[in-house]
Amino acid sequence: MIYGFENNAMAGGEPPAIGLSGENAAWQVVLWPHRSLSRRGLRIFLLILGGLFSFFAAMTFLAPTPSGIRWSAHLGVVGIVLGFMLGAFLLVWGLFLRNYRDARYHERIAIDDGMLVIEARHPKRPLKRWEFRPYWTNVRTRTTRHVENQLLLSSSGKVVAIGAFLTPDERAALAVEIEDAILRHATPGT
Amino acid sequence: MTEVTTGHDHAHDDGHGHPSFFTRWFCSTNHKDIGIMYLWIAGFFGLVAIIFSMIMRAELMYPGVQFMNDESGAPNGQLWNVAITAHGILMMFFVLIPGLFGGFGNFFMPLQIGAPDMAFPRLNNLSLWLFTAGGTLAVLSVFVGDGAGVGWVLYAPLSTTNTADNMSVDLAIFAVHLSGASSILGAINIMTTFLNMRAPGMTLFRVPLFAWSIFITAVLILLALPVLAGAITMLLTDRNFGTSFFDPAGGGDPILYQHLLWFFGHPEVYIIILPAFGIVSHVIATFSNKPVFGYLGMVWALIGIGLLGFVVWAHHMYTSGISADTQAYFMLATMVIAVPTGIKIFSWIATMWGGSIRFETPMLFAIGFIFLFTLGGVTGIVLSQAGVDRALHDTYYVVAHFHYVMSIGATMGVFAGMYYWLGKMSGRQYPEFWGKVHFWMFFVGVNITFFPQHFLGFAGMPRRYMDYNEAFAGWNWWSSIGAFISGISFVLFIGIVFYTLARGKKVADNPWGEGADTLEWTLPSPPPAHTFETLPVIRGSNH
Repeated sequence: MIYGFENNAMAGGEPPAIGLSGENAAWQVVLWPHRSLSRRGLRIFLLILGGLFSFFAAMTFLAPTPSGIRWSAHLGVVGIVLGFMLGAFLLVWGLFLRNYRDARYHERIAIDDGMLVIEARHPKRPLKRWEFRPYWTNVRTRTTRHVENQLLLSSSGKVVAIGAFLTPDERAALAVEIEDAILRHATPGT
Repeated sequence: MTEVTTGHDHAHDDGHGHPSFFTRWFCSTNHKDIGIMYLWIAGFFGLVAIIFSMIMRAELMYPGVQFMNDESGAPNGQLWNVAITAHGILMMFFVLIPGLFGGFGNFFMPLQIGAPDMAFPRLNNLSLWLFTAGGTLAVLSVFVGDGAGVGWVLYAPLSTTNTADNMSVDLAIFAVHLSGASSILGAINIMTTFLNMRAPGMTLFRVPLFAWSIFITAVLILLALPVLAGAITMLLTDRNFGTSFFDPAGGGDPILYQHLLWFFGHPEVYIIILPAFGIVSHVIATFSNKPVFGYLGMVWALIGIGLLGFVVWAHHMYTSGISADTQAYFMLATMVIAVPTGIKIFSWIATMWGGSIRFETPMLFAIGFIFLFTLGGVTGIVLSQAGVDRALHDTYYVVAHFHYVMSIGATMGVFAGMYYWLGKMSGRQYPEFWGKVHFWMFFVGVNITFFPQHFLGFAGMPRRYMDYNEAFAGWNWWSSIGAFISGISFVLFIGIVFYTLARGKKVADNPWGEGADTLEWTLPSPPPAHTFETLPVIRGSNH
């Protein structure tokens, strides 16, 4: 499931492996960027890649072993080439993990203690946080030349665009969900 | 005044506002700008490599040595060796791979899978400049000392001797090292992007064929390049640190270098040609106004060619003393590659069959590609026979074969891609008439150049020499005339590119009509700096 809106629902692929603040909020939704490869998919891919590396390494070094070469020289050759292969394999692994870590960026929209809270949390950057009074918050979507259904929350002259990494349909559905939550939880006049 | 605060921070902030020329192009982390930089720089190195080939064909036009003499007027074979080495290294590592894989791959693969950018934008920039630095070293290797005259394959023991006064071979080795590092980083970036950044709904078997071809190429690079890196590292230590990996006097073996080199070198051929396969698939589908025939078969053929490419390397080494059984295996494995390749050729023909074909410039280049690639493939089957190869090894038949199948074939793919996507990349369309003139000059020129070389090879003319017996004079003259025609066509191509950028007609989002159905055609021409920040949703088949 790419998207879900239940109380304390999460959306956008696999959950980020970082703690969420304010889990006792009256309502909240958490969004994070889509990643098309599941962790299981990554394991399968790395297995295939490692298998190919192993097979080709064995083929290169076992099949046509030159007859006249001294064993120490051959061992050196095998060691150096295997070292480069292992390095390349580890680099792939590390960079995939890094790519998943980049996807741990997430946005949390919550109604907590009577306020509409918007948090943008990046694993390596300071938390960004906005607090709007729900009754005075405007939720709208707009379509520009570059963005379809950009989702904007505005209040007191501040406008925050959220869910830039979601699909247009998901943003439209999210807008309805946030409006509904505001209707349920906002106290008129505050 | 209302300010829009975006909750979502980008990993890279280029493209907001108007960056200066230097910042936009030289410090860019944007996949489209980096793709265009790859194309420009590969084009420059291509011009240098073509100049080398023109010099060589001028020398070979008549028997005897006309130009490559030293100050006393005596023939200087080192000059010839330096020219063939520079031509080979530049074309293999710094023109075709960066153009097809780096240029088109960077620009269009993320667009076709609906990704906002590459997975690692800064790493992408690093790949670009490692490649540029490597190409610069390769050009420098021509001018330092006596020049690197060891052939692009850098065979030991030629490359491990002459160490004291010729640093140019070290420069050539470093050039290949930097190219390898650039390619490996680029390949991992492409793999991560392809697997992990596809838009929702863009399942693996909905991905357009060009994106698939770039992904398979990336896997081949990742598997093959570390072997080359290891081999040339050992060349460096043999040259400079007294090791003897490839020196029989110290217990090493020069044939082992050939095994390592060709374990990389044969997949390298597919690394170069697979992206061209992808481009040709799209061009033929677009200009036949039909979806490509047998999409799944095409994808599995790409995967099959990639895998088989790793188990056939010793067909380059039939004359190096490998056993008869080994030769028999490599013969058989080599011929098996004709099966997935045939699937592709017949699928392209089946795509055209019954289609509403328009012969615009990209389509001409795509059909030219099929003709040249098939012809080169057929001579490849001839050369795969170990017995026949005894006679043809290191003759001009081999030169004709690999130029047809790989060099000119891949170049046809580059030009097909350039004309197909130039409007998308620049926002301006090329002049159709001059595009067709370019195609016919190039197509006729390369055929006059390389077809007679089959005859020269059969007659026994060896490669890698700057002089030849007078019996070979006739076809060599024709070959040189063909080379000059195709050389002039490249100058015309440069003119077309600059004319298009300066005065070409503005082009619509999709100038090719409904046959062009991949995601890049849904974007403006040229696409904005940031695309698919908002993810497109893919429904149904996209090919």
